[in-house]
Amino acid sequence: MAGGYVASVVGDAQTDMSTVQAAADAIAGAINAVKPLLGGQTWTGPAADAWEGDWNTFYASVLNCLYDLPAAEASVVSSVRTQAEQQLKEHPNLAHVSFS
Amino acid sequence: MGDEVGVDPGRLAQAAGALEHLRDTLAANVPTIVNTMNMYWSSGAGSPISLAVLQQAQARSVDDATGMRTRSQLAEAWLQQKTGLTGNGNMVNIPWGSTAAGMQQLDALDAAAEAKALAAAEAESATNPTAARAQIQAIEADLRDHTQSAKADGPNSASMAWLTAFYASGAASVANLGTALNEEDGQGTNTLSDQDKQILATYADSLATLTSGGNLTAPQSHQLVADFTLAASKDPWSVAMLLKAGPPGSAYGAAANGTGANLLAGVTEQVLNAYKNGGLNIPINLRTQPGENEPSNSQINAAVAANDPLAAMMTLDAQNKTAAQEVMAGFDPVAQKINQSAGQQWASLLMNQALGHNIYTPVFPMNPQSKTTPYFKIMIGYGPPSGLGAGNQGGPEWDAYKMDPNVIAGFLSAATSGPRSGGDLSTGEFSTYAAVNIITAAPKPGKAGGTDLPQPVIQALDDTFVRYMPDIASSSNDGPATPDISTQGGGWNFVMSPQDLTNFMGQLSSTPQNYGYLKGAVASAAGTALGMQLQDVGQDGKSMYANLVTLYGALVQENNNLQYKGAQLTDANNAQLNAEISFGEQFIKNIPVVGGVANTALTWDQKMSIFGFPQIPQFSTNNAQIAAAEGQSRMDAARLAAVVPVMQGLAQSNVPIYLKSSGPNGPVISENVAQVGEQQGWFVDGKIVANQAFWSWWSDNSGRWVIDQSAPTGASEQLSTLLSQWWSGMQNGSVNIGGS
Repeated sequence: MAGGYVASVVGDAQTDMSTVQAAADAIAGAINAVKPLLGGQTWTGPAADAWEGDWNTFYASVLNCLYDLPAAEASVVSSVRTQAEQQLKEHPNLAHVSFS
Repeated sequence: MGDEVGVDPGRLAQAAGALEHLRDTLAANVPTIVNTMNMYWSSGAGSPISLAVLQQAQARSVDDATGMRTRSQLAEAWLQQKTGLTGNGNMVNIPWGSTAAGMQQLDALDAAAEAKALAAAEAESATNPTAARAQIQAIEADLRDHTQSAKADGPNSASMAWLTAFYASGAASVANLGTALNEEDGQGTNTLSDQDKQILATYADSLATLTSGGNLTAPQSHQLVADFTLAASKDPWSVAMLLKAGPPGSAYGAAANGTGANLLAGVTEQVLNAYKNGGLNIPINLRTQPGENEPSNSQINAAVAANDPLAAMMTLDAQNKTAAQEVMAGFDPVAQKINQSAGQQWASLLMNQALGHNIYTPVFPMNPQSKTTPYFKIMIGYGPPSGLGAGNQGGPEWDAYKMDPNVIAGFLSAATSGPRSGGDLSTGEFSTYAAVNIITAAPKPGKAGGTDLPQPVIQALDDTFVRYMPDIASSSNDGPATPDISTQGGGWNFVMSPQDLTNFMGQLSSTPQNYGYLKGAVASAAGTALGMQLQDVGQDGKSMYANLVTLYGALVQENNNLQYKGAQLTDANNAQLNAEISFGEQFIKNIPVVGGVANTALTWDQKMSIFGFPQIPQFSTNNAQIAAAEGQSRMDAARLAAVVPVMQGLAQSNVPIYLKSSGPNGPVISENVAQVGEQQGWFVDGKIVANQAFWSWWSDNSGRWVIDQSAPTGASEQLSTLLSQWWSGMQNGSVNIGGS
């Protein structure tokens, strides 16, 4: 039962992080779908090139942020696990609580 | 084009689509990420990282997608040869819009391309209706977006500039949209489907947004008005149906000589001209009527009413008010000149045809080989229309279509609702010209061998009468052969010959109730003028009193023609008393003459506030009956109607009344009419209440005195004498009171 409490709390966090990651993947996919359409075959001219350069730079930082998310998500799950285990030590009765 | 770029229209369209997908994806997912992670981080779980760039991306993606879609549309327009852009192979050169100036240029080109695309779509309406409709709806969607943005972001926004550019070259196509949509799916009496009306509403809303909230230059405004006016001269039905489907007339902006009012006025005038010339065609086509049966006359009548360009424009103009004033003044918004005779002709057209219009109704069987479009026509007068062409084997059938007289009335009333103030081409000038044109164009009443106007139209003429009563009163005394309109005295006013008033006065007197109402209005104003004369308020009170007495006398003379008797006369007397009581309350709120008034010079605005009625009071229904019941046992009805305005005038002008208690050299007791009345319960809320207490007071105090301060030596009169003189003067139309 003790493991049940921790597993339940951690499971919720993992579900939330999965949702976050799915959202991040959707965004990354949409960004990557744009990229091939920008460039020489679509336009030629310095104004467009400048726009494209700015777009690429900006969305590179967006992608970097998205790439940092898995570590942040893992950190959240890890923290939640640690917090749950600490709570269980302080409040043993939590082991008898049903989370099903 | 400093930031011109060569683009592949097909790939650019894909890029625009991908950016729109990215925009939508960010909008759907960024909040999920940010909110979820912040929830955990705020509870101490995990190590936070900055997510600000995601929110920046969500904001940026909107502009990226919109800009790329605009470029794509422009490139697509080049593919369809709808712009003057240059290109080579599969690449076209477009401005990129990387600077503010470049974006402005991009928007302007895009708007112009869409205007051109609309014209091309309309040209296909008859031959390829499906493709044409798809294109019209695509432009409609873009127009809706720009309209919403323009409303939100204001006159200097990029979207308002887009609308400006769109209408700079697309006005004629938008004006023609009604006919184009009718060609696509019009069937029989159903000229425009619900979808058609929704499309028209979107386009009209964009036009109203531009005319009311846009930042048009004077040449742009003039061109827009000229474009729609010209379009209405060619196809009045199409333009009127576009505007009818849109927002109310007030939404177009009501500034005098402004874009919105001028556009509505210009279109209305062309509709009126088409009506006058038998060119008001409605594309009701019974050959395309679904089913086997010919529609009934009532169905046809309903269809004509729903498609009547004249009724549509008059309704919009009445909502706008300024447009109605411009039309009835005869103002040509394209030439920027008042053509008074045109306004008079249109006023005459409306009032002389107020009883009904005729429609030409071709019936089955129509010649199936005929190429002649069997238009319905709204025409003046009776008799078959000319120029229908051969092949109409079914023969013409005639039916009467009556425009709702309330529509005409609303338009006429709005036409004279302007203020007195303003400079050239102001609502003050338009309204005054409109009043002159309406008065001089009124047809002879039935008893004079003409036609009595419908009651709602007569009530609209009442509005003109009470708003311009001082001018009419002055004219009833004397006036020039040709109406003279000027700003003498600081406000727009007119004077005309008594003969010019004849038909107008006859129409207003054509029912006992209206006749009594008018006399009550004049008597109330005359009572005020009498009070002012007794207080010697400059020369205004005196001359106005003389004029109003003359006007009242002219109304009395009307009864020689009217010959109201018995119950009709009772109705007239009750209406008069009712009007006097109701008008009295309005006067007391407006009169500036309270307290020391001797030799006060009145401005024209003050005079108008006293003698003209900016609004028609709402009459309660029982005042006259109560007063009549209590008073008529003591006094005949006509004298009863005289006492009320006389005492009202004395009360509101603070004229003291005197009791000479013990001969000429005895002490003089002075009383204030309003104070005495309030104490005794017959002067309440600023007006005489003709109750039992009033009549008792009058019986006991009619021997009291007033002093005419305007007379050189301050002549005095008893109230009873004053009343007799008033009564006599009003009947004869000449002043003989006091020193006059």
